[in-house]
Amino acid sequence: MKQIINLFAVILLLLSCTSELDTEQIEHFDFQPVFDVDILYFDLNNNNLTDQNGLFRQVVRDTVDLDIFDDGNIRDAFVKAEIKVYYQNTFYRQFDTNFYFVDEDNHPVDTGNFIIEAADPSHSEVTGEVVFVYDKDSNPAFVNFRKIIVEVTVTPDDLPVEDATLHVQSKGTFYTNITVE
Amino acid sequence: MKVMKKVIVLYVLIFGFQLQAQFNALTYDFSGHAMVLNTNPGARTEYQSVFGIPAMSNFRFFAGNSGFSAYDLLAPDTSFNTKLEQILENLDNTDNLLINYRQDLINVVWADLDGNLYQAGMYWELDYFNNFPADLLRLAYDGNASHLYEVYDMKYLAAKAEFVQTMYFGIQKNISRELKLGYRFKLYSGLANAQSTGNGGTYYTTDGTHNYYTHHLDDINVDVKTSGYSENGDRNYYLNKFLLSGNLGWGADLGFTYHPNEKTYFTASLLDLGFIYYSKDIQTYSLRGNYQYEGVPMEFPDEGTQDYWQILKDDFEANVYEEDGDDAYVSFRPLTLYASVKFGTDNLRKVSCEDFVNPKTTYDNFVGFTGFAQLRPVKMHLGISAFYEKKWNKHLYTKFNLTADNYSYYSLGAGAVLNLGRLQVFMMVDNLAGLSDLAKSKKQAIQFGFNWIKF
Repeated sequence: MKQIINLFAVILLLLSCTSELDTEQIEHFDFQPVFDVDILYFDLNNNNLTDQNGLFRQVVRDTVDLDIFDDGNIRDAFVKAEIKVYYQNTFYRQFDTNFYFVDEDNHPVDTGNFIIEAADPSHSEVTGEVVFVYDKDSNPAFVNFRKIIVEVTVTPDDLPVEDATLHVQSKGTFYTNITVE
Repeated sequence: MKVMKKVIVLYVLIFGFQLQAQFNALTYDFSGHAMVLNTNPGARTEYQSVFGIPAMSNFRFFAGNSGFSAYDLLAPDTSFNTKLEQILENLDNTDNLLINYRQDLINVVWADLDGNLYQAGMYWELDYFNNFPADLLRLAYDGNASHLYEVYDMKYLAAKAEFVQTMYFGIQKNISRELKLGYRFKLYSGLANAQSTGNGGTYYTTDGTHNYYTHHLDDINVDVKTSGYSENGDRNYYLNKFLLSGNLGWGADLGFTYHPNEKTYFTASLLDLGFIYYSKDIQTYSLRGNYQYEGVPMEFPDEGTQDYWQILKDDFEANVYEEDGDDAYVSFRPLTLYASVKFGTDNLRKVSCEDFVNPKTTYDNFVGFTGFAQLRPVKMHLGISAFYEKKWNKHLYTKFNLTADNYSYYSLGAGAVLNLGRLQVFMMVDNLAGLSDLAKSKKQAIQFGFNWIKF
């Protein structure tokens, strides 16, 4: 039976042709997807700026674990991150804001700092946007972060705290290079 | 080197792929062909009995890719990424790859004194289908940044692979001089199956309320089911399932031929109206749920912090859950519909009185049209063919057709049936032009076989 099948295959072979194909190229190739993803957001109001004893909290701080770079494949694929932060402030106060990217032991590997301007009677709401760029070549330690510590220092630090809000939102545009082997 | 490449492509087509003549237009209603009853149990035949040479009576091979050819992806001297991007740009959500192989192990046809035909046999069939979810592939290749507000539908995630053995018994009855009806009962034995079909749900992004975006997973409903998979890959595991695997099902084929006058023939058939109940060696995986993500909401508590990431993960797992199981499931066979009309074009001739199976008169040349529809996941496989059929003499029958279907706007096919005494040899090629460059062809179907025929 095999000989008969082979005979017919040979007949077809004689009757058919095929263009040259390079099958090796499928064994290794790269592609560069870009991902746009929300990261974190928060809203601060007057309750956040006073503690349970009614004292002013000049520095408010919180931490979020983000272990996306635990995976070695993701670390290898990482090329660049553009972290975009947008804010809306109706406080008549300035907020000195820091995003600390820290490792498991809370050692900073990178930071992002920006000032949120105070609103005033002529500008009841202040908005703005800042962008931080972390590049694999110029910031090779960036892939070592496992937490983001957000620290906000408020000035002036007097009471009472007005009824206002600060909204901060952030997203990341992540550039990657993925190798298929 | 060129010959070796041709060998590789040809052998991959024949042996590496699991191929089937999905739109078997050349064999359909080809009355001199030993396997004509396979596509219509009510077909007119030019013989009264057939004994298929065991395991050699019929090989059918088909490969079709509506999205791209092998050359589109693997042409040398061009950047692979350039070719891949070109393919992704032109790919549609309903493009698919279909590969199928059928081999008849036993095929016997015989007639009674009234001219009614009986058919019995067994064949196995390897079938592979996958849909190309073009939007999801572009999402994976480009990332979401350049496709931010598109909606991605999981229904285009569809694939199925199956190895089935079928035993059948059929009857064709002469209802009147004008009408033949045929019926074939099938017993299926599913040797192996893997499928992910009937999926649903969407992923999309909108402008956010609290953050830049809201990423949505809506009504996600994805299933993957397998049966007959042997983890140790033991070949004997599959051989031992030969004949009756325990995954059984049944089905039927129906068909008729109606000729209101000597010149005109109308036919139609419905094939594989059936199912298989898979209950052995089952593994299933399901993903269900709804979820929205706007980033991590930080709260700045008076003291300490919350494990926001863990809360996020717990929330996700509570709303989008995975399930593994081993519940039995039903897999429907790909229901297939054929219909044709043909007209005799030359002078009527009388046939031998011995030819009691058929009308006493017939034509040697026919022209006509055949239509085809097959139920597949996501999109039906449709085709239409115009054909010219000629009986040269008792030893040689030929058929030529021009076909349009999901895989090609047009393809010229040809088939020949050669009767060497009582030995019939046939060969059909659906896409002659595709033979000139297999690598650039998006479709090819080849069929051949050996049978003993009695006229």
